[in-house]
Amino acid sequence: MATVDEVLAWRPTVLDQLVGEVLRDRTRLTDLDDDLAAGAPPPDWTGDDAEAARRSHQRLAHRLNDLTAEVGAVTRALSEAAAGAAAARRALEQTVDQARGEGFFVELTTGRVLDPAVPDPDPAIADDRERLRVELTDRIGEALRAADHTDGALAGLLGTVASKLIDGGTGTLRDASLVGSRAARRDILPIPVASDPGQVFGWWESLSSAERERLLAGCPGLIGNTDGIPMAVRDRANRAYLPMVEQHLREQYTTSSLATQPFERLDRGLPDPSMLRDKLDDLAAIRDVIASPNTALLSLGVHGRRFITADVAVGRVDRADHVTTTVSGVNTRPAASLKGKVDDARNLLEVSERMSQEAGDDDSHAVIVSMAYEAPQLDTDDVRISDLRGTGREFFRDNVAKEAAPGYADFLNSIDTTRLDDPHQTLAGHSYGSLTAGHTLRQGTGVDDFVALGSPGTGVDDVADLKVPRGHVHNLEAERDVIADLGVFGEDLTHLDGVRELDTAGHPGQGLDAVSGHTDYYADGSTSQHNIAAIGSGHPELAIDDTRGPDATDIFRKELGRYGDLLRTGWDEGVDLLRESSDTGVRLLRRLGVPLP
Amino acid sequence: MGGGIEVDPAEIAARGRLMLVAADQVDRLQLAASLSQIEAALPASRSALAVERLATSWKRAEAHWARATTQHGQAMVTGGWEHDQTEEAIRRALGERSPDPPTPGPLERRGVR
Repeated sequence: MATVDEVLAWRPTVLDQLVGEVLRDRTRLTDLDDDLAAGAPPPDWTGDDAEAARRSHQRLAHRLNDLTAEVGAVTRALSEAAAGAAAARRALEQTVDQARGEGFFVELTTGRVLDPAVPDPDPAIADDRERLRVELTDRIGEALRAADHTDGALAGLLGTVASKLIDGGTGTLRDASLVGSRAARRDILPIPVASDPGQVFGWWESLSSAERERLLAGCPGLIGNTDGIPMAVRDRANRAYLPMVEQHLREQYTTSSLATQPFERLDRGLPDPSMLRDKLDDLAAIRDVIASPNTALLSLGVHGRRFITADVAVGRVDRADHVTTTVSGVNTRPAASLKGKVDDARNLLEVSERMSQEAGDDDSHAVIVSMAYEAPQLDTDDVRISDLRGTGREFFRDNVAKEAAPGYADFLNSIDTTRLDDPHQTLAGHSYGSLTAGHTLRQGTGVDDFVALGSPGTGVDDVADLKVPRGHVHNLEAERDVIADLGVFGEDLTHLDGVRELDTAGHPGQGLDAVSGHTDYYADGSTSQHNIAAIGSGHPELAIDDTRGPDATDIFRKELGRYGDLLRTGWDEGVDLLRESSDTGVRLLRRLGVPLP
Repeated sequence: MGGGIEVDPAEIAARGRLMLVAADQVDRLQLAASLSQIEAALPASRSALAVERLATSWKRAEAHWARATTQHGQAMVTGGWEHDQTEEAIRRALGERSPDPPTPGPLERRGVR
């Protein structure tokens, strides 16, 4: 494989010039079509000599076809090599420059990036830098792989041509040129097997623009949902992918609905029509939302067991100085909640922009509404305790959050990876979404600030495990939010050291309203929304601390922590124990929407 | 010329001259010359190493085709078509690479052999 310094010495523009010269030669050859036709022995010339002259003429024409096909093949190969070499070299140069700019050292033979700096004493910041070092190494590796692919493809084609393996056929010279050109079309470098965002970004950046367009047109589902592909490209791909998925699901729905015989669907492996209907409803909701300006569809997951998952951004994630990702919790899914969440995001964006303007920094912002995992669904309208033994159990277990975490971590990392600057990233998790966020952060994400809203626990007993820089974990807990008091998943954030408690009470002097209960943290004009915006816009000094101190609710919280331990041991037992333990337990179950006898 | 002329020899000669022009044009192409730039564009690459073989192949192909076509054209111009000798000379000039031209097939069947 080529080394860094070798590829940096490549001069793709020379290849471009060469393409021009070979193209001229190809044109000179194909222009001989008329001369060859006019120079053929006259058709009314008969006899042995005439036949011999015709055979000779044909042989000459076919041999010139072969040569023209060869020139056609080399023209295309050189053209693709010029584009490929330029893309690989540009990606390499960009990455090496970025690495050096960040104070890293790049080994020019191996492509390894080394860090001569002393590690930061804050483990979260040190981890972040180490992640960047690995990412830069991966990107250099991909640029070199792309360079090797370009070189290999061109060398292979030149060898094929030299071996006289291109057949120009028996048509015209122009036909032969096309035949050669078709034979020279090179394969696109395959996506890296590991699919790490850094590698994927390096791979994408090393493709030529023509290859990227081919992939966008041919595999929008892959491009739209692979972490490491630039966000604007993902949006384009997913917008193209959505109607394709819709059509496919509609056809499946029709087929599946017509299967009425017992076990017919099972026998034929057809999906449940109600599930398909739900997915179509989700797609319709997503389609409606992204029809609005300033939105982007950053992911579209269609293979879920029950519904469609999606990430919808408001604002330019690929350019904003501050990107806030909001992770939703129980009972959220596109059909039911996407529109409302996107409205909340728009309001949050406005408040954030206003804060930046007032602070005089004029920074730009983007908010991502993330419904990228199948959040637990708890039917509180028509549920019995016996049913909850199955359905509700999901809420009290962290397996859904844990399973979603690696994907989320890749997504968040890709926001940083796909940009040459380092945007300020905030992750805001609501309810069960804060647990998902907690497990995600533990993977290492490059997130700069974490905001938990009405959190039943984030899966950690020590904030350091969240791998967010010290002093950048924030907790909001509204009055009468019983979920936030559960502490089911690790210690209640309220009781953890190193967590900044932000207020949710009203501040009429600043025109900010109070929120209460579990579901209104993003309410427009609220203190809660103000605080999320302050953290998300990089103005923690504007956030309002919760200075209420311990009150009856907080004492109650401690008590409820005991019940949290019970719930952790199992939902089935927890429900029974809560019901039998005290009036408080019964009230808690009622708040959760559990009808009791 | 061996029998069966039912056409004006001047027309055959005119067509022969067109073939001489074609031979001259191919002879002037110098396809291989520009290939050396690949080494300048991609130093230390496998492509640079592959250039020499292709350049040799193209130089030979151009020269052989031009020579065979010149022979073919001159035979038509001078009316000295001696089909055995001329055919053999052309065959020698082009090499024994391929059999007599096949019946034309559909375009999509062509490409890399």
